[in-house]
Parts: sequence; C-alpha cells; structure tokens
Amino acid sequence: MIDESKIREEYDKSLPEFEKIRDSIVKTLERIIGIYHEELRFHAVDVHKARLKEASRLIEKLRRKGKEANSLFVKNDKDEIELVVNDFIGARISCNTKDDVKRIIELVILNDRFSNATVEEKIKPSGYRAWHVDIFYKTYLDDDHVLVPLELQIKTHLQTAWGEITHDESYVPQGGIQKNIWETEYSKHMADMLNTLDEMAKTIRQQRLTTVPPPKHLRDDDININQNTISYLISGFGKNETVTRQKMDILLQRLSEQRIETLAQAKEILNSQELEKKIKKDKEKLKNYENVSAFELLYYGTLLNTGKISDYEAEINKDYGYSISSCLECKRFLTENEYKYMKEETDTDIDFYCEEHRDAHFPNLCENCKKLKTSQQICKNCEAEKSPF
Amino acid sequence: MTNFFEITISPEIKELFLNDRGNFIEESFKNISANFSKTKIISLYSYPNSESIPAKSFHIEWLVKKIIFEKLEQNKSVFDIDYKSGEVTLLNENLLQKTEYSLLRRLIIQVFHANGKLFVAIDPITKKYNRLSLAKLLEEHNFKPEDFTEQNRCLVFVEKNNARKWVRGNIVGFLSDDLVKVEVPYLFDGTIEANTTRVLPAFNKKFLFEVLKDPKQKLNFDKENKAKSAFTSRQKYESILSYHEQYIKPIFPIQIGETKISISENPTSSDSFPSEIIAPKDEPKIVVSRKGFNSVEHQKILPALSKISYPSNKVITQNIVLFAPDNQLDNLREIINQLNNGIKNQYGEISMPLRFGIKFKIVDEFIVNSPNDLLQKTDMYLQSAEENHTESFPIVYLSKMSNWYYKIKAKFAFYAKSSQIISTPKFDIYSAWNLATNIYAKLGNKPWAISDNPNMPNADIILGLATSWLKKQSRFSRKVGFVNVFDKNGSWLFVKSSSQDIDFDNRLNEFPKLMKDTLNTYLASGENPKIIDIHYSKKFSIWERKKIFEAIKETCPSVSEVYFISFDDTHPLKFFDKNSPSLDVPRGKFFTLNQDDFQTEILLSVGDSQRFQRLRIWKIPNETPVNTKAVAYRVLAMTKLNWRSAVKETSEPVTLRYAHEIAKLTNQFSFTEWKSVNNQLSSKPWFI
Repeated sequence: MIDESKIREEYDKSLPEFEKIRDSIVKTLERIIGIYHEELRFHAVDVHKARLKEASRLIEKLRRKGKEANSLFVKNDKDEIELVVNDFIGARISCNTKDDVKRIIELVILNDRFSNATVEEKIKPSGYRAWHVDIFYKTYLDDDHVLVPLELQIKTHLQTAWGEITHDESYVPQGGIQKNIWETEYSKHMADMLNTLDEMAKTIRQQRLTTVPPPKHLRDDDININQNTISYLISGFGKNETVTRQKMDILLQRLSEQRIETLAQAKEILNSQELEKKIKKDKEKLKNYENVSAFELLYYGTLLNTGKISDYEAEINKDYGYSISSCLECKRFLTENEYKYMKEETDTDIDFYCEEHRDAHFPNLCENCKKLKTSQQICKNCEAEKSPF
Repeated sequence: MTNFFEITISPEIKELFLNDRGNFIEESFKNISANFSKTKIISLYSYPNSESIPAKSFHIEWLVKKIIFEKLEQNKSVFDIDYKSGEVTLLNENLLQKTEYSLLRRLIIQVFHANGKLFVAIDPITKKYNRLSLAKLLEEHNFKPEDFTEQNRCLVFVEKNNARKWVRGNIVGFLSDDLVKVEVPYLFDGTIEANTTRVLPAFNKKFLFEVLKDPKQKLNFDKENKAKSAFTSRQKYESILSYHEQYIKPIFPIQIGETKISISENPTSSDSFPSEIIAPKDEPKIVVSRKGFNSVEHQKILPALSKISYPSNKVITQNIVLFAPDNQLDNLREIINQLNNGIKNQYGEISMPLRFGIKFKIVDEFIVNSPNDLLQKTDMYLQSAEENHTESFPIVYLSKMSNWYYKIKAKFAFYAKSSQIISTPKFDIYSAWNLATNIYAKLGNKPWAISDNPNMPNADIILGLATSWLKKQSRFSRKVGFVNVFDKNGSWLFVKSSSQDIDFDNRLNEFPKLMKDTLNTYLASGENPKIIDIHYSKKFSIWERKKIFEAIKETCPSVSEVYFISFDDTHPLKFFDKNSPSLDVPRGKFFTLNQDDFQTEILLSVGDSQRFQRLRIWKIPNETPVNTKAVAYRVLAMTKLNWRSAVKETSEPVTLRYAHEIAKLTNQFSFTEWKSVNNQLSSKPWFI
C-alpha cells in the first residue's frame, strides 16, 4: 500500500529544500574533484548537473518494486531518517580514465558528507559501462538529520560519449528506446572498442603517475632547471616530497613560461615564507586545509612572484573547483557551476552572485526572448536591438 | 569671441594630495581624485596616508576635467564618453538616422590654462555611428569575425548600477558565432563576454559601402553627411552658447567640501589674448625649379607649375607597367594617354611631357581579374630581371575601397618600388595635375618648394618626428619612430625610421638615436645647419627635449637653436572674429595663449575658417624669447608643400601630413605579409 497523496504532499513541501540539497551535493562533488586535481594534476573532470527524482517517477518506482510506503521518509536500523528510494538524487561525473574513476570513488567514499556506499561496475549486454555508487548524503531537513540517497554514476569520457551517441543510458525513458539488431550490434561493438581505448588510456595515465626519482647528489654545474635538479630541490625541501611525471611536466612548463631558469631562482621561491603564507591562506579560503607542498609553492609561487596576481587567483580557484568570481553579496567564491549559471542563464557582465543571492539581483525572465534572467523586464541583448541612436 | 568659459575656484587650490593606488577607494561628493601615475592617485583633499604636494596648473586641470565628466556621465542624454580625448555624444541630437548608420552631435570638452586663468572649451562636432549590430553584420551581410578583430573598436550595451548604457569597447576575440570577448574600460579593467546583438562595431566607411545596396545611397553618403555636419563660424558660435547652456552650465557650481568651482555665463573675449597676423601676401611663394629652366615663383601652386613648359626635345621617357582587370585596362590606357597628350580647360593645360618633361611608355600590361591573379602577376613583375620591368613604374587599377589597396602598396614598398594605385575611371584636369605631380614626386623629383624670405629667420632643416603603431600578434603592440626631413625651402629630402621599437621605457634613448642617424645622413650632403625646427604631433617632454638636443649638438655642433614645435589639431579651442560678419578668423592670424621662459603656446589659423593649429613651442637655448611670428610663418610655409595635391592647399603642415600618411600606411602594412618598407625607398616619397 502506497500513500500517494501523503508522499506527494511531503515531496511538494520539501521540494525547495531538496533542490538546495541537490545543488549542495554538486558543490561537494566539485570540492572532491578539487582534491583529486590537487593530488594528481589531471584536468578534464566534469561534474554534471544533478537531477531530482520527480514525485510521479518515485511513486511509480515504489509500485514497480512492490514496496509499501506511507511516507516519503523512513527510519533505518540506526534510527536515522532516510528517503524511501535509493536514487532520489542522480548525479554524474565524467573523467579521463578508469583509474581516475576508481580514485574519485575512493575520495567520495572517504568524504565525511557521504556514508554507506555500495559500488558496482555495471556492464550491460548493450555495451553500457559505468560505475554506480549508491550512497547517502548526510544533511539536515527541518533540523532533522537526514540521509539523502544518491545514485552517482561515474564514467570515463569515452563511456559518456558512447552513451550520448547510442542513447543507451542507465535511465531508460518510459516506453524505452527501440533499436534494430544492426544498431544494437554496432553499439556493442563500439563499446568494446572504446573499452580497449580506455585500457590504453589507463596505461598512459599510470606512466604519467610514476614518480620522478630525485638524484642523490647534484653536480656543481647543475645550476639550471631541469627534471633532475627540480626533483632534487623538491625532495630536499624538508618533506621528502616526490613529484609525478605529470606534475613535473606542468611545473617545468610553468617555470619556463615565467622565466625561472636557475635553481637559485627556484630556491628563492621555495624559501619564501611570505609566498607560502599567502598560498596557505588562499587554499583555506577555498576550503582546503592541507599544508602547502613544495610543488604548489613553486607552481603558484612563480605567478605571485612575477606579479601575475590575477592569473594566480584564476588558477588556484579553478584548481580547487571554484571560479575567479565571487558573490558580490556574501563575497564567497562561486563554484564553477554557479559561475556557469551566471554566464549562461543571466545577462550579467561583471556582477556575479552565488546561488543564494542571484535571484534577488536577476529576478525576471526576459519578457522578449524568454531565455535569460535579467535585472529589468527585458534582457540587455533584446534591449540593445532597439538602438536609440 | 572664443569658445572658452572661465572656471573660478574658491578658495584657490594651493596644495593637493598623492595617494597609493592599491586599495584606493574614492569618497565621491567629498573629494575629487584623478590618475596621477601608474602607482599614484591625486586628490583634492587628503586621505589617510596621503602625501601633500604643491598644486600645479595641470593637476587642477585633471581634477576639474574628472568632475565635469563624472557629472556628464550621470546625464542620461549623454553617451559614448571618451574621457581621454574629452568627448561625449548627445543622444538627443540626432542629425541623421538611417537603418545602417546615424549622425550625432558630439562635444569636445577641454579644460586648460591660458594667461594664468582656467577655462573650459566646448567644440561641437559630429560623429557617425554604425547602427548594425555585430550579429546582423555577420548573419545578414556576409562579414567574417576577422573583419572585426583587426578593426576592433565598438560600442557595447552594458549595465552598471542598474543603469544600461552604450559604452566604448574593443572586440578582443570571438568565443562562438554569437559571443564575443570585449574589453570595456567603463566597467572594469578586463573583458566581458557579450552577445553579438549588443555589440555595434565602430563606424567604418568601408564596411558601410559593402552594406549599402543602393548605389545612389553610396553616392549621396558623403554629400548628405557633409551637409548635415557643416557649420559656418556663426552657426558654430551660436551652438557653443546653446550647448554650454544645456549641458555644461547646469553642472556648475560644484561644491566639493569647502571648495566651490564655478563657470562663467558667457565665453571669454578674444581681446584678452595678444594676436598678430601674417597676411597671405607676406607668406612665402611657391618656387618651381627644373633643370635647364630658371626658377619660377607664384603665390599659388598651379599657376607656378603652369609656368614651366618643356620643349619636346627635352622630354625623357619613363617606362610604366599597368596592372588592371580586363574591363578596366582600356580606361587605364586612356588615363596614361591623356597624361601624355594633355588635358586643357579655360584656365590652362597639363600634360606630363609639357609640365614635367616626362613621357610615359607602357612597356607591359598585366591582366589581373582576381586577387590570386594580382598576387601572381605582381610576383612575376617584381621578380623579373627584364630591364623593361626593373626600370619601370607600376600603375595598378583597384576598385574603390578595395581590400587589396594596402596589400599591393605594401608589397611594392617591400620590394623597393613606389607605385601608383588608380581607383576611378573619372579623370579631369585636376585629377591629371594631382596624378602627374604624385608620380613625378614618386620618381624621385621635387615638384615645388618655397621661397626664402630674408626678413624671416628660416630654419635650415625641418624634421617631422612621428611614431606609428604596428600590429604584432593581433594587437597594436609595436611602436616605431620615423623622421621626415625637409630642407630650408621645404623640399622633402628623405625619411628615416628607428631601428628599435619605441616604447615608453626606451623612447628617451631611441628618439635621440633616431635624430643622430637622421642628421648623419643629412650632414653627408655637406650641409651645415644652424637652426632646426622639429615638428611633432604629440607633446615633447622635458627629458625628450633635453636628450634630443644633446644628440643634435653631439652630431652637429654648428646647430645654435632647436625649436621643438608640438602640434595639436584635435584640440577644441576656437577664436571668432567679431569684426567679420561671418566671424571667420583669417588665415595667418595667431593668438598667444601662454608665453613664458618655459613654453610658448599659440593658436594659429591655417586657412580653413574654423581650423586652428595649437602650437606649443620650446626653444633651446631659451635665453631669448621665441619669435612667435617667425615660427607661425614657418608653419604656414609648411602647409604649402604637400606634393600629394597640386590643386588644393592643405591646412596641415606637410611635416604632419606625411607623418600621418606614413603612420597610416605602415600600420596597415603590419596587417599584411609585407610588413616593412624597403630602405631603398627612403629618399622617394612612396607614401604620398
């Protein structure tokens, strides 16, 4: 027996809160990607928009599974409040390789905001491949501690591309998609080929993540910057730090771009307490409380040292999953998604607001194009078409 | 009568304050501040940690300008504010509006000191505005994004403090078909991403001609705009009074703390400025000298040139090569034919052999029906070792506003060839005079010069200093310097370019080095100059003057006086002659705005009734005062020497005219693959 009206009533009542929870899940995932990036320095990880299960689909699922429910909320064995379905919120992450997928799953499981994870590598006969992580997001709803079930799909970019090309997704629309045998065979064959490519990408990635062994000694004439001298310098920084080939390459490129050519110049940056303090403070603003590594000190410090403050700010913010713009109201840095929203859904130029404050400043949908949110009745693009001169 | 309105400040400002730029937040209404340097801001009153400095007149000009423009910015009927040039456009004064463009009234506003007083000058001009958005130009008129990243000025519709406005910007690049990156200094020091519907590329006649479908519209364009823009002196004076009443006077009085800034009701009288006049009859004469002829003189150019008649046995042959499409070749041949055989009207006759002793011989013709053709055929010509080609002068037909104009000029200049481009089949006696003179000069001859005047101390050598911005990696980032050299009779001798880029940091080394190189070349001809005039369209700094003077003395110890003459013809300062019904000030009249040991400043009427050259003159050594009349005389003389036109005298001295032409051409050349002009052309006026 399902108490449909009560479930709908509870759903509608809590919908604004659910939407906030959905968005804060995305923010948490973005922060996890920041940690991942800091650790490995691989870019190109996308956290996609999350979706909230609609009330009707939720009820339909309960019916299909033959579950009984007289409320949207249930208590588990530990007396914690949960929601009645395990995929109340769906989120997706795409990344480069299968090893990235695994590391991101580890980081998600380790994160304090998530609990009770079940991880499954799904391989369907159709060729569909992804890792599904059923996990709970710990949050509060009307002052009650609630566990919100999240189904997180993590795929490689090639798997994501396959899904988009073949329209074969985990969430099959009502009525399903009809495919002929020929198309099914082709899709399957393509998935196998992409899987082989994913394995090859994994090998390249592993190679990029091997550490650069620092030499035991430097010769007297080793005064210029290269892989050897820099790995030696970093390892001697007091923390026995080593760097991967990936990190070494981007570091050498940075040093060369900023014309840091000698070991003495690099040492000066590494020994600057002022730079270290500044980077530490900025990392904390970006919710990362780890100490500043020698790699970071050299990588960001060279920008600061050459006065490229705005480049530095843009880069460190991006590396930790934030944009360079901060909310004009609460001064908090916008997440990449918040920034994207302002850029794509509003007609703003330089006034940026976080999710909490943006509606107050961009309250209206343009009456003319019905596309952009704006501060006035029509957006700037539409108003500009009526040039007054 | 003038267009100067006097500003009074009470109490007098004696000290001002310097503040560090970092973290500086202006307290509007309580204080005024303006940029002082890269690191400092100057303010009327102190802030915490301000440093007090004695107020100089130009500091006060900066602050008053700042407050006037801040007030104007609040006026909703004002837009497109260019703070740097001091210009604003009036939205309510639409003189002409078409679908594609409009013509609006614009005011130039300048705050300046003269005779120890502070003034605001107001000059109404007109400005053309493109009305087609970037989106429309791309979608409906077949333009490409790159058309707008090379000529990238634009207006962009933005919002600040809940108010929307069209403001100036620069298109930096395209993010997608409908999204561009635009620099908008009005908003902040960075770029915004703007939809192409709210970006209006700056008005560009060439673009407009591609957009206008109706040929009649194209024909009427210049006429119509001229008719709507033209002012008589009287109309101008009346409109100045009216714009002052409407836009400037209401801003005043301005109260900032205890300081009150007021403006006069009426313009200042011209009687308060000393004036003198050089009558047309006292100006130097045009002198035409040809080998084998006695020199001839006349007050006007054409009559002087017409006094020379070469007998047929003295005429030499000049090979020419034609480049034209199939359908224009006959026209081009006909033009050459007319130049050879002559054109007459009731006032005289011109033919190349008769007046210049040269007969053209077409030695080759290249049919060029496409850009590709033009590239290939010019390659063939330039790489040819045939004497017919190597010793010839190329004449190219290109349609009006052709994209190939600068490319072809650049290509020929790169390969050390002067060239002539002809764009119109319409040819009359005046076009013939101009074309003949042009080609004659480009072949390395001197069409005319000016006479000596024993009563006026002339400069022995006149140097036109100039700089040009060149494009590097899609931005104007390189600046090169060059000097045009004229002898004491105003004949153009050669042009010298700087070997290094001139930027802010190295200009104090590069300008003197360029001067040394120039003088060394000049001295090689055995001359011994004593007085040198240096003309420049920008202000000379005290250090520039000092270093250049030292370089000159080092290279040429015989020099006793150097006049640094800085020209400004973009200023808005006007005088009106109350004794003339038209209010026109006659050519040659000049008013002294300031004269002291440090600098002399005059406003010289150069012929066009409303056109005045503003000259700042510094003389080194400065033991004796500047003889303003002699300087004005020499400047007027230099307006008679533009070999580009035998028909019309210009109001601009040729030193600046040629500098302008070289700057324009070299700047355009920097967009092509033929970026540099061959050194072999330095003694031929390839740019006229």
